[in-house]
Amino acid sequence: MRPELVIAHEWIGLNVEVVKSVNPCEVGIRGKVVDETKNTLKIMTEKGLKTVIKKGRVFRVKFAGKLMDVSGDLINFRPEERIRRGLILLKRGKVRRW
Amino acid sequence: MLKRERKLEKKIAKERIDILFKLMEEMKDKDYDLARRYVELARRIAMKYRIKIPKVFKLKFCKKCLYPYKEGRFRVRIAKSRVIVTCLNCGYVKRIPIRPIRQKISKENKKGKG
Repeated sequence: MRPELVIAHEWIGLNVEVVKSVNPCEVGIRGKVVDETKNTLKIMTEKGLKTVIKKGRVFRVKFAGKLMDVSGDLINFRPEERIRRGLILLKRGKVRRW
Repeated sequence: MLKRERKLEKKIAKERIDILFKLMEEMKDKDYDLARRYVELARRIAMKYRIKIPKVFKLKFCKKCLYPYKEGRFRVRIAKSRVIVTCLNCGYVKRIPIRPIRQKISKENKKGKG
């Protein structure tokens, strides 16, 4: 599987870390994604459930054996809509290839 | 206008449905509402990209309230040559007919009877 397909694939169950954020308290949140909405990711950390907004954040994920930083703006869609929209973004070349 | 890659879309959708149902099985005992959310997401993906949810997965949740069948929350009975599954969350009754294997009647037999 191509690693750049993360933006179209399932995020629930992946381990993520917030690398960049407007809110300095959010940097360093690490855990498993348990739920996803259009604008947020719900991350289960050791300290409990955290809700992080996707817009303007950068997430570090491991997908298809590669560790990469994914901008939250690329996944700022409803979970079921991300397949279609993500592939369009990939086709237009808006995503950096890993 | 960009052309959509429908084959790839459907392939990814199938994989995502598989993942969601696997996670649902794990989450069922920990967080029942979250398990229901996974079923809801899987169903939405299936509807959007027009693929069927595999029959194995279809038997694992209630069609009406979308809560997965869990120990103590559903009832199974066999009556009148059908399996009757009742969801105890919403009361929806699902009936699955059991058909006996039909024996093939050979042509000679048919002719002889007629």
